Amino acid sequence: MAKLVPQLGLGKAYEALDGLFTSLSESVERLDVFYTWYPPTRKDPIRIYGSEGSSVVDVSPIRFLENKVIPPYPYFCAWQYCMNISSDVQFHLDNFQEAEITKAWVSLAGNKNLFIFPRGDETHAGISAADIAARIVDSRLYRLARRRKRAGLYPEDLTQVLPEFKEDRRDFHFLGEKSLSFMYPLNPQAKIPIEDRHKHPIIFFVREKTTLGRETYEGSPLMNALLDMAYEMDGSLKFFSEESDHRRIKPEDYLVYVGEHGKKIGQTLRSLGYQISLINSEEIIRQRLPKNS
Amino acid sequence: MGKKAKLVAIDSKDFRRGGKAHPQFTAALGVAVTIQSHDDFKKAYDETLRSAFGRCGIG
Repeated sequence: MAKLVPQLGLGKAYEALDGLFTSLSESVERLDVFYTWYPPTRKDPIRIYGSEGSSVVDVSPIRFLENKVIPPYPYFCAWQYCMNISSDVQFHLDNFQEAEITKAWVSLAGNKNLFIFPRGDETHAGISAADIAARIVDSRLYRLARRRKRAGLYPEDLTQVLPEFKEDRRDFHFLGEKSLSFMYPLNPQAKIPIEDRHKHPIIFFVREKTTLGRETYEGSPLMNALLDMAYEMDGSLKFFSEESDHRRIKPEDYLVYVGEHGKKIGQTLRSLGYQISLINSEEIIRQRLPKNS
Repeated sequence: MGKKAKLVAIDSKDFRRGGKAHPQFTAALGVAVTIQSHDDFKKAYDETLRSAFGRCGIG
């Protein structure tokens, strides 16, 4: 939306989004909405950690929601999908930041067909559709709430905002009190190995050691071309981590470099026996951004 | 040949009313999209969103 709004203006951007969502909905078998919130009146703390000798910590419900539920929410949705609908599926989740292991993750981790896509909403058609659906639900609920003069997420409102999906093709799942004990982090040291779940082929993008910040890379035309490549390959795109990504390299992966530092990393990896294809960014610019070459 | 498992794509967002500084209501909101065939869905996606905006996603 950040890119659509300047192009179209806010009103037109939402109209465009609504139209696209309606067209896409015909190709979706079913749509499930998951949500979690606490009544603002609830003040009693939530007790987290305590496993494997770690100390128990009390956090307020709102802090728990903000820090432990919202950031890794895609996997809580996958866990609940297994509970309520089916576990015999492949899960493709949008990336989430560092998260701690919970009972929900332990229950989900056995699914070898669970993959996480960095910037999945820009490289994966299904994740992009889920992203658009979440924004549509939010914006339609906002308009409904203005008419009803109340703010919140209510089941009776949710049933009103997805007319594209008849009852047998959609459902709403409240992850409330009953689910909470599965969402408590067990130990602050036990992290979910997110990067081991990234879908291959992975395009590793190496940044040069210059004063240019991450933003310059992220906003570049080259980045858009790499996102497009990842989309076409059904793979992932991530910045190369010099500390840890050598462990994840597979023969189908690519390393894209823009200068001498990246080229050297690629050549060293290959000299060390890692099988990875090296691509000079100029080649991508020539092929995919002909006006820039 | 076993039947290919369906694909479930998931994304989420924070759902806020009243702004971050003075929140009236905060929730986690997630959506799971179940797709029978990833290839067929990708075709439909290419014909709608990607052809309209020249890229995957809305940025």
